[in-house]
Amino acid sequence: MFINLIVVKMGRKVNVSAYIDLEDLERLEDLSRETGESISSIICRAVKEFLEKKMKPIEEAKA
Amino acid sequence: MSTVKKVPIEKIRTGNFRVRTSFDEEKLQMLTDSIKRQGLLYPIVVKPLEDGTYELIAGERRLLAAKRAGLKEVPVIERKGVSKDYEIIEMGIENLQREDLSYYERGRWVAKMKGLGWTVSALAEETGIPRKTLENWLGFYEESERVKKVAIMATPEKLPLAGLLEVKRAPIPDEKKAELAVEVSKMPEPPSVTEIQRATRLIEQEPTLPAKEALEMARGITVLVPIPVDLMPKLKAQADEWGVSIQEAIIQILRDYLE
Repeated sequence: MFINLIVVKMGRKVNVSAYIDLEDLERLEDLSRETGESISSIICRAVKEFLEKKMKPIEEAKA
Repeated sequence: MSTVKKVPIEKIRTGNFRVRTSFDEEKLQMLTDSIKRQGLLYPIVVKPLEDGTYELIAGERRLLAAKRAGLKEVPVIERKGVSKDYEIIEMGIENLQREDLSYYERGRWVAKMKGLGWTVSALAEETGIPRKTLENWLGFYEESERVKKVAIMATPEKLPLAGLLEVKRAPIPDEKKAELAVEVSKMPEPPSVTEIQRATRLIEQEPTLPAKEALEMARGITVLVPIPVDLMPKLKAQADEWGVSIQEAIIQILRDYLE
């Protein structure tokens, strides 16, 4: 994996650069057409869902 | 002192040193067609000789195309009383402005000037070209024969200097470097430096991988992903857990998501 590091803080969000391979990009473009979301929004949602799913059992255990 | 006039084309001859060692046939044909339609718009630069002929200083490509277009006379700017050094500087500057002059030809020109007693610093001051750039060009000219092939194939038009430096310093066999330069020169869209880095690393990992395939695999885009501030510590923790960077963690999560 070869990635350029660009991190820009924009209000309540941080822009992180990610270098996407052509293969992944094609799948993302298909998904973007299906959902009407931008590619960066899809990636952001994937990250958010993953982290929330991962943190849920830990937070439940704490509660 | 410079004057512009028309002279018979057969009276112009090329000098011993030429900046260009090859011409792109397609571009030469385009220029020939343009001269046939509109004539030669920009004069070539010559030095008048005692025997009534002229030695070409700058504009070899235009002269060649004018001959092909069948012109009997061409407009020239005469340079009188200039030293040999300045003739070669002028030849160089005229050609260096063109993106299709290879790095090898650029380096050869710098070497020629050095041979005439110029230091790289003095040449940088005279031409306005950064010293580091001149040194890099010279470096390509002075490289081993195999690496030289890379610089012969590569032009700024097809491969940025930073990309060529990446190819040059990559820990891959010289023949792979040459193969990579050939493939890059065939690509309609020049690859970015990141893509070249990726391609060389792919070849480093898999030395039998054809350069063309490595370049195709290296193609991609950089996307800016807006991550909410409150998720960043969690993402960082996840990246640390996997032993990767934040960006690599994002790609890993994305791939799982797309599965």
